[in-house]
Amino acid sequence: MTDLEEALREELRRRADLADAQAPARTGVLPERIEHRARRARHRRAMAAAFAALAVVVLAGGAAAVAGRGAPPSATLPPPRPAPRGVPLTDTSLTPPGWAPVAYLDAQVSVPGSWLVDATGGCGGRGRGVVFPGQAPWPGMFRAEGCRPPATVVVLTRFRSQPSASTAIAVRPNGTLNGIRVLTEHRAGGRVVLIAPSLGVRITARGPLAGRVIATLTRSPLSVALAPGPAFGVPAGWRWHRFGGIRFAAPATWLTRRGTWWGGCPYGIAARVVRLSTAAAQFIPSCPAFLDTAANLAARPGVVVGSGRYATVPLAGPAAAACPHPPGLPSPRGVRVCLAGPAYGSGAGSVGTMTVVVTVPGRARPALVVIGLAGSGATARTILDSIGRQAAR
Amino acid sequence: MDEEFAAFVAARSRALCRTAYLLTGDWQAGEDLVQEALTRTYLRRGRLRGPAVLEPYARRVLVSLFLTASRRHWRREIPHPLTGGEAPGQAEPAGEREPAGGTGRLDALLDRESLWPALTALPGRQRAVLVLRYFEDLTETEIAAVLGCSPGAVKTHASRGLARLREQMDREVWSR
Repeated sequence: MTDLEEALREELRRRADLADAQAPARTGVLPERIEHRARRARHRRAMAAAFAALAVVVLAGGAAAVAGRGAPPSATLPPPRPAPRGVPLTDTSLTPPGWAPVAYLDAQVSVPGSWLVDATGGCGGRGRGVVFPGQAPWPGMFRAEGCRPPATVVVLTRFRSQPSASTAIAVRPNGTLNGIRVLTEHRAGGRVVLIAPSLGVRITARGPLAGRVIATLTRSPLSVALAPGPAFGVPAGWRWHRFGGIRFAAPATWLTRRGTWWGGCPYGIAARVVRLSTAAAQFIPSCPAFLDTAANLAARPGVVVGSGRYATVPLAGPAAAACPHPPGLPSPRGVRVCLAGPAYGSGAGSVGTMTVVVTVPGRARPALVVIGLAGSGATARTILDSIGRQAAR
Repeated sequence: MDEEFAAFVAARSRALCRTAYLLTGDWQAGEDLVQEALTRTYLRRGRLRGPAVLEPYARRVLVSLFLTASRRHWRREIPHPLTGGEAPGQAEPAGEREPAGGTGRLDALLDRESLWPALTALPGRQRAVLVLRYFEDLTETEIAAVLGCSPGAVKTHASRGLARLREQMDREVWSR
């Protein structure tokens, strides 16, 4: 290191220390200010979305009036089919080499690994493509952030089977795509809109790779793990683990690591590792910065089990309703398993993990099980189905 | 606000403010950037995996906000101590000032008084690279991820930034 570099390092630290010492301490009011700004930001986004929806309705109405009888036949959406008896898996063969899966709710598409996944604060990589799972970019977002709009944009949003009158747009039935019943909306401007009612999503895509991305549609590993149907049996090559009052199975080839910290870098899930944590300490390392590319965010196969002071998640909202077993009724395996937010609901698929809270009667603390949602979803489902009460020795 | 995020804010906001101050040269402006960065992080926390990634994400947003602001034409000018102005947070007690620079050129080159104004005069990206490298102690790869560019570009920015610092300080030294 040169003298100049040494001097610069010293000067930066000295300046920061000096300014820090002179600045008033406002840490107490900071959360309030953040809340206030967040409320304003949400309000702005809601207003922008409302205006955009209004503009779409007005444009669609105008186009229909101009086209007259030439408009495509509209169809009333039928209710989603009941789940099949067997449990269909995520089709991993639809992900081309170099691409990475991006899941949202029950759907999954694949995109080039270098694409950004709904990232803000930086334009890196946006020239190629961006995928937004759960939330559409607000109008003018790229320009406002000083970025050039990406070539291809793919948006996955929640679809409800009965759209309200104000948002109903002509829909035409289009058969199946990769074994999934899909409908397409009639839209102009080179934009493709696909609805998969059984997966509960609407996919909007535009750009040169829009068609190729949509062609990779399959069900998400999360939907496989949570689909009704028979429990997946534990294969012979798997190993049983006993920890935190529960037992579960995982592939025997996965490494087992024990520790005391909860959290991790990155994401806490290591590929093909079973991590058993007493969660006695919170792990807040200085993580390397990363770009939210599809490849970086791709789910990893692995499982983390925590049982201790720091292994807690808020159980609120949809999580309470996401118990596979009715509250108060223990499952046949002697435990109650509930999904925990925020890994379920908006943005669930993109997180790449599923967190479940396992309550064992008689134990003060529940165990948290974080399962990586990679591959076909069969491994995640088998792990989930294998969770039970640890037998007394 | 949930407890996890509140704990993160309490633990790390001051450190982020220090970085923001070094980027902007103004504590108030830095605090404002930090609030905005934390707000964006807060809005995205559901998609971030655990507390461990909150800080890198917040730092990345912080630097991005700074670069965006530094590109704008209406960017607020920072008072230059040598022209008589003193930016908030820059005033030093007299006792803490360094003695007048040495007679040798090297001593003068390393004089702190000339280093800070030279740093504040750097373009945003070069300044961000130098702060992340010499204050945050990030590696070139980590800085590249923060800035959304290649490690090679980081090297270039660092090298140009240091060269410019040296040039600015040289000029100042010889004009004394």
